[in-house]
Parts: sequence; C-alpha cells; structure tokens
Amino acid sequence: MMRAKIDSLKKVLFDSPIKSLTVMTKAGEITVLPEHRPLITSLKPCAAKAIDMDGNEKFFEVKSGFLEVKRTKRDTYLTLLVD
Amino acid sequence: MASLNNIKKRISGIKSINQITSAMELVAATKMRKAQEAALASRFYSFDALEILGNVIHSLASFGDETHLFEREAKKTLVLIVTSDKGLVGSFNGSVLKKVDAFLKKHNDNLKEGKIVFVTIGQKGADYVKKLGITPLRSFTNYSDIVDFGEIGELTEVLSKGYRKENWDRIISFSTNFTSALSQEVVERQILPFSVTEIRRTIEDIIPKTGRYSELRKELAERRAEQPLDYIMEPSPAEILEDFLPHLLKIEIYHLMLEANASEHSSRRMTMKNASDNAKELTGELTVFYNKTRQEMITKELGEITGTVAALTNHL
Repeated sequence: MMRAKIDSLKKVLFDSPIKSLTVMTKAGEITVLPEHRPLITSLKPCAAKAIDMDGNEKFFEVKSGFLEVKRTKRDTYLTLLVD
Repeated sequence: MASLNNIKKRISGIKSINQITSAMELVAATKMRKAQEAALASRFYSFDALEILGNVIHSLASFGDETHLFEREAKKTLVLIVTSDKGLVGSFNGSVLKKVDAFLKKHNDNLKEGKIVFVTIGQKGADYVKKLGITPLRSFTNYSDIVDFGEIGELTEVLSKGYRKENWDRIISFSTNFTSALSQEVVERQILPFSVTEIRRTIEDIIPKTGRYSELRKELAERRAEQPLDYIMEPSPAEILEDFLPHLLKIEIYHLMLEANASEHSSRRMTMKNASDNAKELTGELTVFYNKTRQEMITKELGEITGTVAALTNHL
C-alpha cells in the first residue's frame, strides 16, 4: 500500500492511500509508485497530481516544498510539504 | 463612616472596570481560539517537517557526513526570548522570564564574559534584558496577534546569518508551549545546532499528551522506519540541506511563536476572567455595604426625629 500525506501550513490538504503521485522536483518530473526507494527532494512550482485508489486524478498547487518517500517492509509513505 | 456618595462612586468605578475586563476577556477568547486553530493546524506540517529532518540527519550521520549545522563547540550562545508586547496577561511573561533567569544564573560566568547575546520577541522580554544592563542584539515587537509566516522572515534571517558567520554557535529559545486553554508550560529548546535528540523532543512537545491529536504518537511510531533508511537525495544532499534547513528553522520559529500567541491569549483570557469575577464580587460587597450604611443613616435620622419630637412634647 502507498499512502500520501500533503501538508500545508494552514491545514492537511490530503491524507489517504493513492496509486501514484507525480510532481516536479528540482531535478525534473518524477512519478512515485509503490515500493519506491526512500527519497528526499525539493519541489519546483507545479501542480502535484495524485491518483487515488479509484483512479481519480487530484491536483494540488505547489509553490515550493519538499517530498519525502519512506518505506517500512510492507508500506510506502509519501510526505509532501507544500507552501 | 464613609459617605454614601463615595461608596456610590466606588461602585460605579468598579462596574466600569468590570465592563472593560469582560470585553477584554471576550476579545482574548476569540483571539485565543484563532491562534489555537492556527497552531493546531500547523502542528501537522511542522511535525512532518521535523520528522523529515530527523530522518535526513539520521541517514547523514550514518555516513559520517556532518555539517556545522549539527555539531559545533558552543563558545557563544544566543538566547531567544519569546514574550508578549503588552501586559495584563497574568503569569505569562513572568514564567518565561523566570526560566530565563534560572538559565542565566547557571551560566553566570558566560554572561559576565559577554558570551551570551539576546534576541527578544515582545516588549516585555526586551525590557527584562535591558534591566540586566544588556542591550539586546535585536528586539522584535509589534507582531500580529496571530503571527503570519511572512512576518518572521527577518527574524530567522538574523538568527541564521549570525550563526553562519559564527557570531554565535548555539541558539536557545525560551517560549511558552500551549497544552490546553488552562495549562501552558514554558519550554527551553535548542534551535541551532540541530540535533536529533532535540528534534525528537520538539516533536514530542508538539503532540498533546492527552486528548485530541494524542493518537498521533502511535501513528508516528508505526510510520517510523526501523533502521536508518538509505535515502536518495535529489538534486544532491548538500542542495537539499541548503534548501531545507533555513526553511525548517523558519517553520520551527513560526510554530514556536504560534504556540506563544495561543498561550498569551489564553493567559490573558484567564486573567481577565479573574478580574471580572473579582469586580463582580466587589460590587456585590460594596452594594451590601452601601445599603447598610444607608439604612444606618435612616435609623439615625429617625432616632433624631423621634428624640426631638419627644423633647418637644415633654416641653409642652
């Protein structure tokens, strides 16, 4: 299972299981899928695209921020900090 | 015996004080709620940001790749004092300054040698430092009632610039942590250099110990990876740290100030509530006293009249 949590300073924008997440990082565009390697990267202004378990696309505005991917043996956790 | 007019004046004076304190109580209650909401809302963000930093440091440390931001010999210390601009907040400022006092007593030698410098937030903190005979390096006042993320840019810039230039080697903050509307505690935190244990402590301070949000502790334990993870850092570890650390410092300070804002307003609310209650009690007591005095005067007058009447009848 992969679970994404998108935080802004004002509130938690999104917190639920997803299939994939696409963001623009300083090193280029990436799509994170389950069992991705642990990763920390900073984000460029973009629209982050999350695809939820039903296949629906959800977009979030990113001005700047960070993405962390971490794993336990079973699960992948994404944390997105956006401004 | 006090004159009736004087008592009346006192009663009306206390009544108008009561009106003012009640109004202040209501205003403070609203501000407290707003600050509390902002503080609670930012908890998640700050909490995740600190967690990420903790993980980065952990994985860097396991490679022996340390930077000056994490370990440094503490020759000079910067003390950051977070207080309020205005008074009438009960023990809010007093308890922060008491803790600072204790810290300074412990490090008296350093203080005498000028190895401790101060940056203050709020007028009260600045006054305190000046009373010690020291001019604070910078004092920031007139922040909004509920601090805005944009407002603290200058403050964090001052803090990190001096640290980079080695004007000071460690930053310790004294501020108030909001635990609930009824209880706030003063906490001493090391802001810089970052250290894993301090960060963990800060994370634990952010999550309330009981009640709402306390279940986060369990969730955190579940999410924490068992061993240091082998993170890929893009574009490069150095660039990530360069971006992330100033940002994190800003978040930490932002959070600290929000907590202090919420504490200040809730402390003010309690103080004003006590003042209003006192005023009400005093009004009651004075009214009873007023009535008693009035009655006494009437009785005295009646006595005089009947006495006079009796004297007159006897005379006739």
